[in-house]
Amino acid sequence: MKDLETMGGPRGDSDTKMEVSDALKTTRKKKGKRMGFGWRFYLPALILAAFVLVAIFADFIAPHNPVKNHLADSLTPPFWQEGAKAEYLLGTDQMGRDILSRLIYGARTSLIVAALGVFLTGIVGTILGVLAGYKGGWVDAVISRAIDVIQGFPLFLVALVLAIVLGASLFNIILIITIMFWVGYARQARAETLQIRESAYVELARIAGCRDFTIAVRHVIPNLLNSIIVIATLGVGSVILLESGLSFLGAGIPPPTPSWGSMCADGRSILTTAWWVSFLPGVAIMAVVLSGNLLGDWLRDKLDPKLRDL
Amino acid sequence: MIIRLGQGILALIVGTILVFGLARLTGNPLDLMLPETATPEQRQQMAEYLGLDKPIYQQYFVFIGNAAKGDFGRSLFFYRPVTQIIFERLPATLELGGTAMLFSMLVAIPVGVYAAVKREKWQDSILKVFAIFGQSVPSFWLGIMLILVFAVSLRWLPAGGYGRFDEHLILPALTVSTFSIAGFLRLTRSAMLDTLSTDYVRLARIKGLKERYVIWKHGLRNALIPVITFTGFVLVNAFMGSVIVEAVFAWPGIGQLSYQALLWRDFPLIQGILVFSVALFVLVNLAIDILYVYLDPRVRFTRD
Amino acid sequence: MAGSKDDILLRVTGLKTYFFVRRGTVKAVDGVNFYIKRGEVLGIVGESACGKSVTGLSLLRLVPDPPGKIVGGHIFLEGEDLLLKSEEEMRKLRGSKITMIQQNPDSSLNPVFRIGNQVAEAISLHQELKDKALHNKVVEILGLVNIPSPEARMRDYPHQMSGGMRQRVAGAIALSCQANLLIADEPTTNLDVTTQAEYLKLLEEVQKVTGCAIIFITHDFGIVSKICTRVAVMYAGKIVEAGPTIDIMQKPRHPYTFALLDSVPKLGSRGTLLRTIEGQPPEPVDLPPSCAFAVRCPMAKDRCFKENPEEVRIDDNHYVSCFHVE
Repeated sequence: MKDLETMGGPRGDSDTKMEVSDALKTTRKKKGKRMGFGWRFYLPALILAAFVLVAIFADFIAPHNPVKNHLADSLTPPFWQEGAKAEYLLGTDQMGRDILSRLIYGARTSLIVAALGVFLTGIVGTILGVLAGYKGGWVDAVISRAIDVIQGFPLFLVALVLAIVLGASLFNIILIITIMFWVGYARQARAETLQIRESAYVELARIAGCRDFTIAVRHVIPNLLNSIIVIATLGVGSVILLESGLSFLGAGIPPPTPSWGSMCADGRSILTTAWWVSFLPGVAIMAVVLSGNLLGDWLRDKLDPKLRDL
Repeated sequence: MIIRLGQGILALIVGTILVFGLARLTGNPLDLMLPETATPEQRQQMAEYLGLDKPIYQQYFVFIGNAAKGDFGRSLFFYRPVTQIIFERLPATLELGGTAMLFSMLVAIPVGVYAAVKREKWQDSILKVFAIFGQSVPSFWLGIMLILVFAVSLRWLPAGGYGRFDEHLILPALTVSTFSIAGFLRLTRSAMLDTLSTDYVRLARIKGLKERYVIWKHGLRNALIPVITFTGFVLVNAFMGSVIVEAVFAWPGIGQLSYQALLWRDFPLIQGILVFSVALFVLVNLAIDILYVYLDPRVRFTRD
Repeated sequence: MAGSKDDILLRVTGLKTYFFVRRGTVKAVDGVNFYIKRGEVLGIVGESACGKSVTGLSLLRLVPDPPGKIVGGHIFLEGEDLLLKSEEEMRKLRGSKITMIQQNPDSSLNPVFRIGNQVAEAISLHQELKDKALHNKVVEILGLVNIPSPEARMRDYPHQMSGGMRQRVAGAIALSCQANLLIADEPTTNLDVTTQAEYLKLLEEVQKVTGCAIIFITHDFGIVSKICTRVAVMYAGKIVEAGPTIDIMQKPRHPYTFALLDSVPKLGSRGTLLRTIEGQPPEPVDLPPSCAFAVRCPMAKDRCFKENPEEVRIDDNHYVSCFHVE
């Protein structure tokens, strides 16, 4: 092959050559970063927002006192049935309590549990996960074993045991939720921390003499946030399902605080005559859980598609 | 392999300690069993009889020692060996859980494959929504509603209770399956999507293989690997029964048993059930590990 | 045009394959023309993301859809337009007439099936062989690609073999199809240099045995110079220059070709700066109707930024798309 260096070839004059950087701008249309808020975001987000508002302003919205009995009006059907009464839009239960008001206050209960539950679980889980991933060694061993062991227990059963052990109360429920659910966050946090730990900029930070804690806060955690947020949003549903399940069995939020789960339980005995007492709270639960899941799904597609399998 | 076994045993041990502690914490059964008027001597007698007067750690060792022999003591309220009670209830739970699991897999896996094949088309979108719905329904509510529709209004099916593999099984099984169908569906779909975009699937097409074979032989075979892990999880739940569903349908299984045991503070029974579940978990995981070796040749030869 | 129409195996005209993604329309292949004769080895050269792999996939009509689609052009294989065929007809052609070796040996074989099984599958699709005869055929073909002790290795799983061996298995699978046209999509890119050389030799032997034509997709002009009689240079979805390898390598007419050849490090050039081409290949999304290389071209004039150059014929076989050649 002839030596290419001795060969003459096209050599241009640079008069008409545009600045490379300018030219690159013309060949590449500016990509607007659209988040793409479609209905898949708005629908669940609005529903959740609505529930949150209802929970916050329960005192102003609820037409009746949720724990007040109007025995004379007990078992009134909801507005679309015969025999309904205008003042009880969604009917009353066997104690004459207004279902709508109970649903509204129930929203407060569920959302408080969900918010606090997810928040605490997220924090505890993430911290433990990062610790395990970053420090390694026996810290990791202990935490990983804990994760394995906790995973081995049937979720609901243990929650139930704990609920009975600790007694039914709001605080205890949240505690139980934290104990059961931190594992999910920890696992993800640990896995990602392990990855991030090996990355170049963490190496650099360490060489530069940064303390572990600083590195963790500045470099590791911001990268984790995406997946943790996704897990948290998806976690809202699981938390509410757990809480309502426990309340249904009588081991959750104690009466008289209205909880959607216990409302369902209340309606069981009168299912044949007053089906709405059990039906309506369940719809509420489903609405919130569904919205949480849809929103979490959307978030996952936007932030971190790799979590698809959760 | 050995490592996994060791880990399993460790988990088992820690599990039993936790279980022991938990059970003890549920309260003092003496309070429930004896009337308030019982004298201290009577309490003492009862305590001795039940072995509750010994120091805690001694109780633990007694517990472990017996457990190793498969003896979990006598249920405080049934007066029969715990192990016996558990195994008595097991068939009912298995019937429910097993049926639900098989049903879920038979339905969800093919549908999941279908969704993956029809990726991004309307069939896929509908199925995705379906799956999310399935995971959002509270099981107790679903059970109640099913009873309302099929037992109360239509009177096609019984509202609860037990019958061997007959119509009593249908509603509870449906309730239990809903969640796992959704789970299997999403998992299968996502695993298939991964598989179908690999180079080796493309190779199968390059060879000129019929699309059907490409999907089922090359695609699904690989996609099943992650699905199997989920199966393990479902299996454990199948064995343990769903406390909620069994409560709603008055199904005499382990779930219902657990609830009763808790209410009565029946230590031995509670312990027995919890240890049973942990042991089950360890066993099922081991079984899955073994299954993995068979399914995924890459695992088989890691010592090469 | 040299050679009679009879020995042209494949002729591609105006092939356009676009990917419709969220960011816009990626024109991965944007109006590509080339041909290949029976038994010939044609190289397609270019940097990453220039569209060469997609071109190969388009020939097989295995472009992932969504998001990709072949939106225009013709692919004449032995006179018949592949783009007019039904999926079932196409399926029958795959393997029997056209086949492909993929780039990454680690992922191109199914990890859960033994390699003997996978080769046998390919064979039985195109030949009527069963049991013993099939078994022997597998051994024979594995032997042809120089896999030692084929009888034993048949029972291996892909992960038990080295990358080089796996590519040989891929070659065996391609062989068993007995196709007229083999598309080799950067088969040596993921191999080390020595293995590369061996593999190239293997391909040459395969070609001698089967008489198939090979489209060799690569980014490496060195490889092209070794086995390709003709070569096409691709940039941003278009072929900018095509012709006999010797001609192109000695006298490249397109500025890009020149720059590519120029940037290959040469023995004896110690101490000199590596020559690179300034800038980056454009994101093939929503490209304006100008010469795609204009931005980085040292010879670019006004016109280059406004219009797309047409193909200009230089010699018998040599085509260039550049305004400076007129």
